[in-house]
Formats: sequence, structure tokens, C-alpha cells
Amino acid sequence: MGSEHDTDALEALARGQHVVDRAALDAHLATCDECARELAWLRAEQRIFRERDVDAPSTEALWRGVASKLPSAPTANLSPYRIAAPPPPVVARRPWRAFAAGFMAAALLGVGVAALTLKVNSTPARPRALSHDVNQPRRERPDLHADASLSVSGPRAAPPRDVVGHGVTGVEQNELRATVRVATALALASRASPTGATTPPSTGVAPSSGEVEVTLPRVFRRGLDGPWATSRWRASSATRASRRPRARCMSNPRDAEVTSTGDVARGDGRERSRPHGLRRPAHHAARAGAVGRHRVDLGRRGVDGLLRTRMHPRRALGVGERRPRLRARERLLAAATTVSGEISDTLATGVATPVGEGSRDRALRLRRRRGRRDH
Amino acid sequence: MSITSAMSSAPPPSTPPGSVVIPIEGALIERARRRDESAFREIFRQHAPRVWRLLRDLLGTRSAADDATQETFVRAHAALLDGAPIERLAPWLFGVARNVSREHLRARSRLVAMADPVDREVPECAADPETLLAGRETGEALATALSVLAHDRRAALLLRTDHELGYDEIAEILGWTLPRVKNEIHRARLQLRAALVDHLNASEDRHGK
Repeated sequence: MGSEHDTDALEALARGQHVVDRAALDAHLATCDECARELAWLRAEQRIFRERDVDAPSTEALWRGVASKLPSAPTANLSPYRIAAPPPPVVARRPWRAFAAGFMAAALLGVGVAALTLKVNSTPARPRALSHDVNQPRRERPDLHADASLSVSGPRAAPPRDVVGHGVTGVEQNELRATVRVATALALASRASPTGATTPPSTGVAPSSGEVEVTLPRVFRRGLDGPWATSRWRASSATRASRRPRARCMSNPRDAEVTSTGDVARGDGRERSRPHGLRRPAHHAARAGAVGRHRVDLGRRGVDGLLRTRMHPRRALGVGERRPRLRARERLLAAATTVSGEISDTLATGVATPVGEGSRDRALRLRRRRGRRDH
Repeated sequence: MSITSAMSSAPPPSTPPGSVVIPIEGALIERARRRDESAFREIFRQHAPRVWRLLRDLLGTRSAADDATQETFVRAHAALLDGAPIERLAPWLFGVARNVSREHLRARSRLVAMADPVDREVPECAADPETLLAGRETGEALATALSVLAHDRRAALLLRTDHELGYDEIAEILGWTLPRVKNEIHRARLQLRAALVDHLNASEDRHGK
């Protein structure tokens, strides 16, 4: 097949049109059989298309169909001699523009209604008192003012919902206090108490609605195996303003049981509290809580089953062992939530709640308040 | 009878009696944009037969060609009023008609895929088309041969062969590049010739038996 130039020339020749350099083309056709055959086919095609009997359209019928579908509009009665006159304005066939403003207003109104609806329904759900999760995210912290809810406050007089986790310089600064209002749980427990809700336990703690405060020292030590076993601790009692707090157990220790497990060499086994072990179970509990698992089983006999323990680890997190602020806070919050929730659950149901794995350095301090906060 | 071009459809006073005035296409377009029904009707009168013939070849049936032609000019009227840029009416109307035909075929699920049409070589026995086509009914053969081609390839061949449009105009209508247009038309011709030979040979065999 020849070049495009040859094809175009052959086409023009087949149509009978003017061809540039006709003589050269004729001379080429005389010697090239392929081009001659191509020219013959092109001519045959032209003849076929020209002579074919194609049905002629009914123009009038077609126009009637077209006219019926055209939009009715006044036809311009233009005089052919009014060429110099300015043409009338052409009305654009875009009727939707007239309704664009209305559509946009309706759309904005719908968006506003939807936003209001979402805002109304965006009230954070208050978790139940008996529900807790170790991995509870920070955003799902329950409301402070709800019954059996969890609030987290720091020793720096931070807002109730703030988690204090600035720096790691001292024990006090590392404390994360979780306050759990267990009014409901205490009420249930009080009713179950054989001694009545108003009978103060032997510890002197009058049962009343209040708060159970959980303090979790924000001290993390990596690879900590044995130091906690030898760390000093302190426990305090909420009933006596003792400068030397000591761990105390409730009057009915049979209903209170503290067990602890840990991955520390010294705390592998479970250590059960003695019937009247006011200090030891707290001690063990606190220490075990610092190293790993810690389970608090509280009896259903009200406040008598409460265990107040506080532990201060001797050593704080050293310099250079700073943890990401957010991460630490979230971890503390998760631990505080877990412990607080478990306490609430135990108080309400009297059923031991297994403790999920928390921080090694977690210590438990329970202090029952008499309807007020210490901090 | 003399043919005189003028700026309007109405004959100027100086035009000799019996003259047929063919309005300039640009003037027709301008008047049609201004909702001059007579101008649009003139456009319809000039181009409807060609558009109808193209649609007849593309769609295969007369009724489909009627519907498609009406749809084509209705769309053309709307586009004119919307101020669509038009240089030449014929290629532009062919482009609208081609789109309408594609929609019709798609609706009927008869759109021939453009992908990979079979290219066939012309048999050696048909070296002389004049001999082959002489005294034969070629209308039916051509319709049968055209039906073998893919839709757009068929449209390209028709626009080039039947309506004598330029390659650049065909490229603009179909949205192709110029080399592709030439290649597709060349392939369409080869396919058409092979189909013609097959059809005519088959017809000769039937008559010869």
C-alpha cells in the first residue's frame, strides 16, 4: 500500500476531484499494480455508495416530529433589511437558575438541621458503674457527677477530668488519683450488711455514700523485677488522721479478700489475707499491685469490706525514663478506670472481679470518703 | 435560474426573479440562535437528508433513523440556543447524530464493540472489483458489508466515503487523532471489501446452483 499521500491522491482521483501532479500519478499507476487495484476499489466504492437505493426520508414528517419537540418560543419576526438593528437578547434556556437560590437555601437549612440533630445526639454516653475496661480510651471517661462514675484528678489540683502526668520527679507528682463515686454500690452494700447501713465498721469508717478514691502512682519502671519487693510502702486509714498511715482492713475481713499475683519472683503466688490481717493483706495487695496483677475481692457487706491501702513506692521514675505524656496519661487512666470499675463492681455485686493486667507500678489506695473529697 | 448567496433567506429587492437564495451558513446559525424558526427549518431542510442517511446506515432500520434524526435536530436546536460554538453545520450535526446513534444502539444493546475488529485481507480472486460488481445488486451487499463493521469504524468510513468529509472533520466528530482516523478508515475499507467479496461470491454460488 502506498503512502498517505498516494492514498489521498487516489481518493481524489476516484472522486473525480482535482489531483496535484496528475501526470505523475498516472505514470505511477501504470507501473504499480497495487495502487491500480486500490484505485479500482475506491472507484467501486464510490459507485456503490452513489448508486445504492437508499430510502428517502420523509422530510415533512420528520420536521413535524422535530417541531413538536421544540420549546415553544416566539419566533423573531426579523426583517432581512434590519441587519443594522441590534439583535434582541437571547434568553438562555436554563430555567434551573431561577430555582438555584431556593435549592441552596433548602440545602443549607437541611445541613443546619442535621448539624443540630447531631449536636443534640452527641451527648457522651455515661458508662454504667459496672462496666469498665482496661483499654478504655480516654475519651470514654465517665462523667464525674454521675453515680458510680469515674473521675480522674491529679494531686496538683487539676480539674476533675484531667489526668496529671507532668514530668516524673516525685512520688506526689506521679500520683494519679481516681475518684469513684460509688454511692449506688455503697447503698446496695449497706443494705446487705447485717449490721445495717449506719453501723460503723470496726475501723471506724461509717458507711455512707461517698467516693472511693484510687490512687495510682504514675511510676513506671522498665524491667522491674525485684525492687518493689523491697520498696517501702505506706498505707493510711481514712478514719484516723494518722501521720503514719497504715493499711487497714474492714471489720469483716472474712468478706474482704485481697489476692495478688505478679510476675515478680516474690509475688508469684497468691497470698490470701488473714481473717484479721489488717495490714498484711493491704501490704501484699499494694505490693502486688505495684508489680502486676492485683485483684481485690470485696465482700458484699458494705463498707466493712472496703480495703484501704496506699502504697508509695520508694523510688520514682528516674531521669531519662520519661514516657510520652499522652501515652502515660492514657495508661494511667486506663488503670485507674479499671481499678475503680472493679471496685464499683465488687461493691455492687460482691463478686470478685479479676483484674486485668495493668502497670507494674500500680498501687491501690482506697479511701472512703464521707460524702466529700479530700482533694 | 441563478443561485445567489445572500445574508438572509428573503431575496433582496435587487435579486432577479426566480432566483434561489442560499443563505450563508453563518447567518443561518445566527438567526437560529435568535429563535428564528424559519432559519432552523432551513437548516433542517439542508442537512436532514444527509443526517438521516448516515443514521440509516448506522442504525440499520428506517424507523430508528427517523427517531434518531428527530432527536438529533432537537438537540441541535437546544445547543444552538445555548450558544454552542459551531464552525460548520454538517460536521457538527454529524457529530450529534453519531452520539444519538450510539445511545440508540446502547439502548438496544446492539452496539458493536470497537475493540479488536477482525481485519481481513481481500481475496485474490476479487482483484478486479469492477468485474465483481458489474451487473450485480450491490445495495444489499453494501448494507450487509457495513453491518460487519464496528459502529465508530463504520461511521468513519461513511463520513469519508459517503459524505466526503475531511479527515480532520472526521477526527473532530469522533474524537480521534488524525492518524487514527486514517488507519480506521483504511481498515474499514479492507473489511468492507472482504465482506463484499464474500457476499457477492455467496450470492453467485446461490444463483449458479
